[in-house]
Amino acid sequence: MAARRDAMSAMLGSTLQVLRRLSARRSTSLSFAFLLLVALAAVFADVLPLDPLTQNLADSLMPPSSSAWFGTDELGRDILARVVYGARTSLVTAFGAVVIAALIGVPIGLVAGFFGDWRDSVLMRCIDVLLALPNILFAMALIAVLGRSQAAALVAVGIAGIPNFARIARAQVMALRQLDFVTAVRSFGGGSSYIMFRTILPNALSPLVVQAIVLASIAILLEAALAFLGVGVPPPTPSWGEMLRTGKSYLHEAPTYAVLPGLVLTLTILSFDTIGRALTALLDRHDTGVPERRGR
Amino acid sequence: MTALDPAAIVEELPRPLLQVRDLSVRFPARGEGKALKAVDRVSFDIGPGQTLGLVGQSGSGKSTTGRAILQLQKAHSGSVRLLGEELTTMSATRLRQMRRHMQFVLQNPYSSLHPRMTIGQILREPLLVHRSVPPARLQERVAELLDLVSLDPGMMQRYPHEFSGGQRQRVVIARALAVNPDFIVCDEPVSALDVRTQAQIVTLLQSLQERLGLSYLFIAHDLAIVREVAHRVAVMFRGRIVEMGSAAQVYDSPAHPYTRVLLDAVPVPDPVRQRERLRRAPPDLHFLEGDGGGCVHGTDHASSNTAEWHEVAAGHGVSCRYWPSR
Amino acid sequence: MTTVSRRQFCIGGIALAAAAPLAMSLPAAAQQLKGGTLRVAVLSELANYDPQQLSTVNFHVIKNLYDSLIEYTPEGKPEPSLATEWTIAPDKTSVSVKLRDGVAFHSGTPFKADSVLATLQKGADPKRGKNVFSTMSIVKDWSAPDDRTVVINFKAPVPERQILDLLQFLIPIEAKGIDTVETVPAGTGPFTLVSRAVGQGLRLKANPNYWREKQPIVQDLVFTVFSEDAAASAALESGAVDIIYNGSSRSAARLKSAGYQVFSGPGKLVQVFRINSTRGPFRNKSYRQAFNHLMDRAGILRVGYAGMGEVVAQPWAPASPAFDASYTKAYAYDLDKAKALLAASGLSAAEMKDWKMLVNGSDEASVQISQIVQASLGKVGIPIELDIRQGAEFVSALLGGDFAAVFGAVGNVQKFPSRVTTNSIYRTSQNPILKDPHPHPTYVAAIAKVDGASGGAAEVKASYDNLNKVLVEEAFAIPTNSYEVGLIVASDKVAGVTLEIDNLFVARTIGFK
Ligand SMILES: Nc1ncnc2c1ncn2[C@@H]1O[C@H](COP(=O)(O)OP(=O)(O)O)[C@@H](O)[C@H]1O
Ligand SMILES: [Mg+2]
Ligand SMILES: [Zn+2]
Ligand SMILES: [Zn+2]
Repeated sequence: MAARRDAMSAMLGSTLQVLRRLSARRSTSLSFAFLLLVALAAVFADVLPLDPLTQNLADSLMPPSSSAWFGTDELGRDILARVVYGARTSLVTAFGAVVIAALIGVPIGLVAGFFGDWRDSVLMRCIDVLLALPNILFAMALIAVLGRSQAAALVAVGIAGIPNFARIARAQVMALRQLDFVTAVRSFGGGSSYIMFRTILPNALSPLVVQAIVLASIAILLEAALAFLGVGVPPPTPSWGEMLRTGKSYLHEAPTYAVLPGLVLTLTILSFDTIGRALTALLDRHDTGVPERRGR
Repeated sequence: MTALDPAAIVEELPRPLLQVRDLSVRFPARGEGKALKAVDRVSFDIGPGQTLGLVGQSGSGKSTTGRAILQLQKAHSGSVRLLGEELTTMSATRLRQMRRHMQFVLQNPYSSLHPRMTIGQILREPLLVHRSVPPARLQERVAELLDLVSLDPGMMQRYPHEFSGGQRQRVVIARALAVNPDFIVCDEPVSALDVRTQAQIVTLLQSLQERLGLSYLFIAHDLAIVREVAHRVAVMFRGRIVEMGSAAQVYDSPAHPYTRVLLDAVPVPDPVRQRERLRRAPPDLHFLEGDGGGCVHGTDHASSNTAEWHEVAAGHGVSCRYWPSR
Repeated sequence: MTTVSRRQFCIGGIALAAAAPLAMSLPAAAQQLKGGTLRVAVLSELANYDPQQLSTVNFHVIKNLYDSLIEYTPEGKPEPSLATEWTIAPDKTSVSVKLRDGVAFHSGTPFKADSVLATLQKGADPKRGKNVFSTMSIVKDWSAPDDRTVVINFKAPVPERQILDLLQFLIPIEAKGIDTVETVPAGTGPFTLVSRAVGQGLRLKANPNYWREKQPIVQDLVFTVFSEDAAASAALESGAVDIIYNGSSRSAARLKSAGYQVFSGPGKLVQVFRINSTRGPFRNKSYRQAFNHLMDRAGILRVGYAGMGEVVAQPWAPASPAFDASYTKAYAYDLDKAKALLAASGLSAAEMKDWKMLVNGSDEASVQISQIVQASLGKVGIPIELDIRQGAEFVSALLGGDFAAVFGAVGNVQKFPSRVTTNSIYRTSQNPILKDPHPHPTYVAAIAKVDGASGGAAEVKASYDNLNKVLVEEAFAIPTNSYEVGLIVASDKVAGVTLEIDNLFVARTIGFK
């Protein structure tokens, strides 16, 4: 227990450190602000006076107005409400996908890199196979098997993200496992999994956090793409991709129907990407992953 | 001079805590070429409360020997027995349990502490891994350890980078002591420190040995420090031990030419003499090959199937390998 | 997708009565039209060149590469085509067909009886007969007394209309090309194949030896496949194509208001909420009847089909003899009536929502109208989920009866009322959804009564009334609206559009003003 807490606080410390340094950058603060807005919308959607589901067929495809800021869709539902609840769909899918990808990919990478023996060959061969499959096709095939649901979209996008995490974790372990403090833990009797997860992982965290952010943007895009192709989260659950899919049929009658959700989607992905880039640049300058030797 | 098995030399010593026999480590060759024999048929014993100093130039295989003993490096052949138990063939689980009897103090105190853990967390780690202390007593034990290495227990919440090198090495030593080991490999424990701090750490190690009855394998290339701390000294050259004896025997009457070269290389405090020595041409260092060739004492080790080892005095042995060619 | 699968099942008969009113009168002065290249946007990739594959994806080429033995006018009047005359024996057990002289296949081979025999042979083969096969079930054998005559014998006396349906369905394929007809067209039609780019389109050119005088009018006929309805509309508006065939009703409505010509054929479809009455809460009659009042038909028609069609509570087009407008009023959208029926069902709330609505994810209108019904159900306390499936997966669930409830269109609604039984949900025996024995014997009896009503007008009317009453009472299929299929939207430069009884695309009469 205590050891886990120690490792956790070590991880947390390093993450906070990075975030603190990052928020100092002007170029990313706008992205942060936008993502914060999206996240707040997703979390507090229920307390807002917005209803994404109630249909009003008499008032379908209305242009933006004071009662419906983003207008209404073909079933007379409030598009703003659907964009706000769609943020929840997008973020839940992205978050879930990143968690799945990390939970599977990171241990694979850790084990492969740590042992470096046949386990490495076997695991990385599997990862290469996964990597060779086009994300979207793989996700669609998986959804064809699992059936169409948010969980399926989430799992499909998550599995598609496994290789990214595995590769980065592996590279990190290979760089870190030779370091003295790792040897020290091994010498006093720390087992392999203790070393991988408690000693090495907290130090490999920064590039993994970057990866998580990059993957989040990919996941949001992939989820939207799946919805756009009609295999994403099933209606009537609001989803940006689904709104784009349906909205594009009404480009003549109600151009804002597709354009506004599309804009929000674009800005969200752009924000994630901006932060991801800034983080990468930041970590590149700071000798990625390997702890700094301060105080010397 | 008669050829003796090195084991025979240590027979009269108290029951050895650590027994190393014919330990060899090889590293696969990079690309073409032969595998590197980083450690070659090394044998020695260390008794309880004893320190064996292991000296030799950089690259001679000292660290690899230490790591092979601690099973951090796979041995190619040979045996390592700690408290009578064979370590080289032990299961991973049992080995982890055995690690509480043997610990490691690394050379670089800057890199051997986890940079993102507090001193308290670092010292708690081995206790948690070995479950040697009930959770309620953890804090108390950590304070005790800090006290043992003369650090203020109030520093528990600090991170390694807030400490000086000497303080960090104390933390490293405290961590090694956490599980009450019997034996510690100290691999150049002071070479990264300034001279004053070196003395303090050496004193600390000595006092800990006295108080806790520890055994050390003390690896160093600084012969002066080794003379101070070691009861016995082994000289290593190209992966082999070429001479071993009590500190006095090895330092005062070196038997192997390489030992003499090593001792001659020790800087002397007198600057005039030092300058003069440096001006002198280095001795002919064309040593015989480690394998093959005749014994300088004329013994045919191959046909008599004896080790290439000769006792020059009680407890003082020397190898007939790596003598200068004539 | 719905329409594809539907069509495969429902083509099989021809209107007895007058077809639905036309959007435009037929071309008056075709001879004044000019030739050129006619560019047509289609929304589906061609499946193959087999004229016996009567699926909507093939509708744009069949009547252009091939001719049938006879044709129907949009009103359902038979007209000669490759058959110049046909004589039905007085006992109605055979028909003798005279074949047109001077007709040649695209390969140059003269059109003779052998090709008709080969075509009959193929149609009667369960493996090769495709959509023609079921129609061939009445046929016993056939023969060719000479090169210009074919005689078809039936197993039993067959109503004249059914014989005509068969002749209209028979599209002669050149005998030596019959095995490769899926990949190489082998017809006598007004156009010949020039090239095909799979996924992109198809280029045809006028058949210089075509037997119909002055037809085709245009020299080149180019089909371009658009995957998006909106893209096809944009192509029409930008002048990149002259005609959109089988686009969505919504685009057609918009383009019509923008000044484009819209032609809708007589072959309407009726959207039907199909209920698997052998499953879960749907075994309860009162529960099912509630669905008569849960359909916001006006909303469904407007959102799903841009208002192009009519709301209906019965599977008939207004032109059908069984059509009764009073049902649309009596079974209008009414949540209070629905709630009363749900309460009367005695089912618990948990039982009521213990099912999912299957939805054809490949069809935008189906997704939308299913959501409308889902919302209505939510309002009466039945929150259910949509089970959205794509393409083949949906079709197999639909046709295999592997669903609780689903929207799926039915055809043949302009024909004789008992023709409705060609649609899977309305089948009276071997119903793939309701299985045997049929769980609604009163419905089976009502259909039998319609078929057997040979007496006076009163008896016939009574049988129709009875069928209508039974349909709403048993409530295993809830029609919502009729809608257009095979819509033609044309630029104002073109004229001469011919409407085909089954809404196939006929290009030979089209030209430029
Ligand atoms: N992991 C390794 N892989 C390959 N060669 C190694 C490795 N570790 C040490 N060596 C080689 O083994 C020899 C002995 O190294 P080491 O034990 O570190 O010497 P010392 O500690 O006496 O300076 C050197 O030649 C070194 O290059
Ligand atoms: Mg060393
Ligand atoms: Zn012990
Ligand atoms: Zn010898």
